[in-house]
Amino acid sequence: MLEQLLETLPAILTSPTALLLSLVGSILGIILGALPGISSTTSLAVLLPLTFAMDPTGAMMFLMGVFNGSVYGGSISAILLNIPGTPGAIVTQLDGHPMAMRGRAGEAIGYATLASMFGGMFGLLVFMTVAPLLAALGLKFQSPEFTGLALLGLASLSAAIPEAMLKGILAGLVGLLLATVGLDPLTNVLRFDFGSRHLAGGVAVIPVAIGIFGMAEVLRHLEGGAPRWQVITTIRRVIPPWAEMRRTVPGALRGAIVGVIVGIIPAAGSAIGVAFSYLQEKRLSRTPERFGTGIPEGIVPPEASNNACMGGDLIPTMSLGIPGDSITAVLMGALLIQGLRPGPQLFTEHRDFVAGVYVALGVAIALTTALGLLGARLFARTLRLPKAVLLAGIALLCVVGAYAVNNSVFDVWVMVLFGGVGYLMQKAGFPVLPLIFGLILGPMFEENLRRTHIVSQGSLLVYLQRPLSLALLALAAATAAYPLLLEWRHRRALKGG
Amino acid sequence: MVEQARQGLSDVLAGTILLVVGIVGLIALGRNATLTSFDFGADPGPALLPRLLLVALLGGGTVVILLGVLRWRAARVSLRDVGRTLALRPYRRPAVFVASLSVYLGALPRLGFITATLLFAAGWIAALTPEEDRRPLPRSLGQTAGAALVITAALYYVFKGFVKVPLP
Repeated sequence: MLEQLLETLPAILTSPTALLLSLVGSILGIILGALPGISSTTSLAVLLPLTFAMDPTGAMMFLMGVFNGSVYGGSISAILLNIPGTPGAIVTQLDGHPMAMRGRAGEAIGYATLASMFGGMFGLLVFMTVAPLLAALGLKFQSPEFTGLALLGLASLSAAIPEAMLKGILAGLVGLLLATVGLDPLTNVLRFDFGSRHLAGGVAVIPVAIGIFGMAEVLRHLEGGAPRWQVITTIRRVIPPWAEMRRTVPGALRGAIVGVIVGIIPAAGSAIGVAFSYLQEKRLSRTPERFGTGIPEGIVPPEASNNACMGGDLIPTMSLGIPGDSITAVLMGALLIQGLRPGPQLFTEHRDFVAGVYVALGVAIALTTALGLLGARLFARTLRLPKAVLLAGIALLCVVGAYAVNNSVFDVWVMVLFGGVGYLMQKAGFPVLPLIFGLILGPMFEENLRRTHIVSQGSLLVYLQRPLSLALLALAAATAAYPLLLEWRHRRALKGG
Repeated sequence: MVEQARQGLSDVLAGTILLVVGIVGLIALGRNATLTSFDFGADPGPALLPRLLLVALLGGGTVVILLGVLRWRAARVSLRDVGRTLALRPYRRPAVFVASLSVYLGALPRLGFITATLLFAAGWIAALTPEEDRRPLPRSLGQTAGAALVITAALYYVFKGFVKVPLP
């Protein structure tokens, strides 16, 4: 892999097109990520169709720019507006905004930028180290293991959403069911096509993702009208003083470690990582009462955690084909469009592409840092963009993006339908992430389930006779049972007084 | 209490939708002649997973309905009282938006991408602009038209020129 990396690195760094794509992706990512309510997943979903005309490496340069930029961008609105741009920036505002209110808005952005860079680089290094090892293990997988792996991915969702476990599982089942629409890959028999030639090809992942993440977001915003945001625009010094910055380094490292671990757990989400990092730093501090008053120690660890989460997310996504969260689920859709299926084979058959992903993420981190430090004032100004223009623009981007998948108006209808479905699901307390997980993992699950059945001539013992398959199934069962155990212990503790 | 009853009612509705999906799906599988008559040999067949999923949805939907009913009953609020406090106003704008999107999609082949998109964008920017930003009117109208034009032109040139998408 090192050989491919050494070949790819200079090729990309000397390619003006590749660098420009990363730069444009990073700028768009920062702007969309900074806008309140527009999550990184939404940003990636609505900009994804722009990559259809690009080669795989170019697409990754652009998408990694959007990915990293939007994850970082959420902190800008958290600091300047006191509204997190993305769920991963929910705790940045606790100290970022008070610091900005004291006239240190630039330095708060500076801390967030440098911590994001540190966390992002840490996550990238772990990704580069762990992903090939996990992929090598994945090469030993056969049908029973892949069935167990898909089950583990789906079971992780129940652990990630303990407050809506049943609803999460049902949403996942609906996603799996949607994946069975159209031609069966093993027998070419049509299922659930209802006589429509459009449904014969199945339900495409991208229009559904644009609908439930992009259009549903627009519909949610429309509920509250389109008032202007009150934004702090006075930004002076951006690079913080070294003496103060030095004190935050251990916290940044702890935050980055937490972020990577949370990222590796499928469906855990960066919001959990940043909240854990913030609480951990407060617990370790000698002056916990200062947290929430605008101190760097409250900004740096969660920001490092938020960006380190990206590298962690990419590990199961790229090496096993199990998305780490909603952002990597959309990213996986992008790879499928490019004809590349994430998983162990990617690390043996497309080593140069994997090396390209490492470089793309590294370049995106470097460019986002430069943009964050040099363009903080400019990005602050984009927050004054009227919300009415923004919502109309994003809605139309969703429409054109869904159309661009197959140049088909039917896909736009699918997007609008799932926009409504996503909106109503959230209103009824159903998480939307399991639906897209089910849709992505469905084909892999069904194909391997049936292959195992054919090879073992219907015996289920094969799952227990193979150590890896048994381990994966046990892990899936433990993951699904964990929230139930927690709930049981919680109830017992309540009864015990 | 009313919020709890409302949540219960929402669960009953969601569970009913899952039941409907399960029933319609099972009927569709049952009516699929290839699935019912063909022998797939050692392969359990393309109906196995959908059937398992649909049965699970029927079971899950029933549990969601039951939990919703229990929650509603625990709140001790009548359906009429819940109906009285139901605030449908926030849903009005999203519903109108989806309806207007449908009209826009229907108009795309007739009006073409540029005209239809320009009208859609201008209409919604004007409708969503806060009252205090609408004065003076000529300036506000100019800004609305300008923003709609920029959005339409950007989408057209990026997707038609760069991504090579044959927009209608």
